[in-house]
Amino acid sequence: MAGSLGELLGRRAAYAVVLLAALSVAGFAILVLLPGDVAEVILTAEMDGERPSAEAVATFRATHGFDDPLPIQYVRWLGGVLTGDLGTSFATGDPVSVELALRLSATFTLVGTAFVMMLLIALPLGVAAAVWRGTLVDRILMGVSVVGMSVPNFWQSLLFVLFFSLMLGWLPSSGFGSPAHVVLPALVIATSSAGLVARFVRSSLIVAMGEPHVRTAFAKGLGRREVLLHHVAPGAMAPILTVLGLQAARMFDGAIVVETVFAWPGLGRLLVDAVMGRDYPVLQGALLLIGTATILINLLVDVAISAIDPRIGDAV
Amino acid sequence: MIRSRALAALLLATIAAPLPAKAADDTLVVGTMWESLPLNMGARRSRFFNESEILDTLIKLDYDMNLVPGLATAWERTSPTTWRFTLRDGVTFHDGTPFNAAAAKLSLERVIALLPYAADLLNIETITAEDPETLVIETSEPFAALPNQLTDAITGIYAASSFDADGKFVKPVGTGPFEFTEYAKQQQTVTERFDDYWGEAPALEKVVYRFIPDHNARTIALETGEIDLAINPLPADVKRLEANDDTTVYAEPSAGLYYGSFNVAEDRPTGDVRVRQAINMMIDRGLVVDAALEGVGLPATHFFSPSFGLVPETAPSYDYDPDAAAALLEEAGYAKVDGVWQKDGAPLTLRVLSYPTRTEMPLITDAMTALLAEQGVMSDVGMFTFEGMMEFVKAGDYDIAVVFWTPEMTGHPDLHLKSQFHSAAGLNDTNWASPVFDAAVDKGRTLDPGPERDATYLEALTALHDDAVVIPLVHKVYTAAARSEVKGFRVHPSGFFYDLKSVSKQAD
Repeated sequence: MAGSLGELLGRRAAYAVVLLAALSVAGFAILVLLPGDVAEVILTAEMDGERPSAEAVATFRATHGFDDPLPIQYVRWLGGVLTGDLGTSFATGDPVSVELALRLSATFTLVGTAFVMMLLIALPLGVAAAVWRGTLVDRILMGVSVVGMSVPNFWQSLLFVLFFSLMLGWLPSSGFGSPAHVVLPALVIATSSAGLVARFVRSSLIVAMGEPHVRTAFAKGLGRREVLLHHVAPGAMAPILTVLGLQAARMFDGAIVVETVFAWPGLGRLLVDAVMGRDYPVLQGALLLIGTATILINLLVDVAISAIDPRIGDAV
Repeated sequence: MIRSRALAALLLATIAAPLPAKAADDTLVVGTMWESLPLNMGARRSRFFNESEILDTLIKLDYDMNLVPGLATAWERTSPTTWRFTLRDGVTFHDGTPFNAAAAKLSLERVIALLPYAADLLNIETITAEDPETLVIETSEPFAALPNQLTDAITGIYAASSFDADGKFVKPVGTGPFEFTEYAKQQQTVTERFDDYWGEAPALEKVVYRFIPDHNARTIALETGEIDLAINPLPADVKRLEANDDTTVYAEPSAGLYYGSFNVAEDRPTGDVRVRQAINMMIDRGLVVDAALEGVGLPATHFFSPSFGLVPETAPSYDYDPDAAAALLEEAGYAKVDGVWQKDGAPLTLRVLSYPTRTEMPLITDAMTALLAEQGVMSDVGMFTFEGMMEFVKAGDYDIAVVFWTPEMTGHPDLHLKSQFHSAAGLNDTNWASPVFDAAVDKGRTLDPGPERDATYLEALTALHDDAVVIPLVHKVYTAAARSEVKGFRVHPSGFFYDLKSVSKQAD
């Protein structure tokens, strides 16, 4: 058993290394494939948008090694990346690693808060709807959840700002730097996921309540609270957890728009700004970071699942 | 029950506690659409140092675009290539060191070394500190535009302590009324009043520049009172802010121009000058301003606006005249079939490019192409990032590129005409080459202000007009909106100068 798990770990890690290598090639290729000559783009950025002369570009190419064969440029670039040197942002002049660190922590603060809020909204709603299934309460709650799912984040952000900031004056309308600033953007992201999760909690609970052992528990005369907590919840938990995992990933997508509206300096907005401003070093850094995180998380999840459930391990 | 009530109270407390605090009376909070980057001297962004008056330039532009003394009190051209500047006495930098000719020399030399743009702009051969109050500049060719170029925000004067021992930029230390004190990345930059400022001391103690990139969010922050001054609100929000008793809208027409730049290459439909002239006559600029910008703009007929003081009223322009336009197209071999202009069975379709990162750009482009379609000229519109658009432009794969240019950074025509339309200029992607224009522009920069200079530039502008190289669309009106208690604010037509010295906050 231990041997096969070690073997599996090794195989998975090898896959991950291959993927990381492919990712690094893709990251490097950005400079080659995106429109424009990199040397010219860098010089133009330095010259306040004024186009450099052809000679200036040629000199820059020669002195900065852009004329070397691509594999050599790749190895040199990779060496920098591995030692933490991701280059300097064209837009701000700061090291890319500094940019990424700030944005990463901002995004995790936002999405983390949103996730907790989402649980606080979705779990009680879903449970209530399941318990009072088919009643008016259920229909109202599920109707509200559809609204939460369907309203676009962009519009909802503005509505929330109008209501909570402009009309009530409770919360700042944009920016970051104090705990109050996170509430509105997090709430927007939370409500967009909460509807779906609430519906899922409801249906999972309903399925679980139909299981024979639950009926048996009721038949034994146990109270509803007791049955829900000890007999229904455990059965419903697995599918709910899966959906929560997916929703957490979706929240990072949803955060991009919200970050822009609320001037929240997250990773999504960094990526959009970098594309719009052709800030190649930042674009490369952000893609490498997101790609590496995805590969490593998948590796962890695979290993964790196979460690828990040997049947899945055999199948991989 | 008790527990849930306690929970509700706790929740309310956490929500109610961090009320967005209104800034104190001597603090002004400005909402900006770009992030100010005070620890970076990248060319475009270093304009912020002058805009926020951390730095002073040697010479400044007043609200009518006239040259006025900055750190230099007088200037004189003593030979075609020599300029003498008399410097202001008794000026200290924020770090306590004195400002004098040696300091000015050091600063200008650093700026030229660090920013290639400055080298091109200034044309400087040598700088000499003749005595503490006299700075002598030799230009590499006869250069009458130097005092104007020295108003460009990037030429602001830095104290030596702005740079480290290796000459690398550290932070802005200047002579202006406000001193840089704090920067929080992606959040804000703070400046505070400099008490030893050489001019009249500002009323404000502190200015906070908050970065709010989203236009709607910036306007709302103004409405809630979180910021006192919002730069560049959307045209669509201007009416609402005007109607609101708590806010005041400030507007200042500028010479900044939204215009279509033609590709005059022979293989394009726009290679025919008659087509370019016809297009110029097909568009009612007043409609573009109303439809695209809700009236926040001025219809444009020339590359320079009347306010720039360079274009005489007698200068030729293309006025809205659909009949004359139709006649020109017929002369060029086009025939109108089913309301669409055609030649050899193919409709006249223009490849029009623009970029949406400047908010007004797609709106103006859409208005222009809609008005052309009404006259039977079709368009195939492409929206890209600015650099993405430039790829197509450089490859010559376009007929009209809708772009923006502001000539008011310096108030002198040289930089603007030469860099864009001179046949040897890097930015000239129109494929237009006019010996008459080149000669006039090369001569104009050597001439002192006066009739000869004006006549020379009129010659250049007439060449540009006759060949219809551009289609001027709209002159930008710079807008800002402030809380009503903000007094003494005015928008500077350059768009690169906040001038908060005279601003104060007083409730009515």
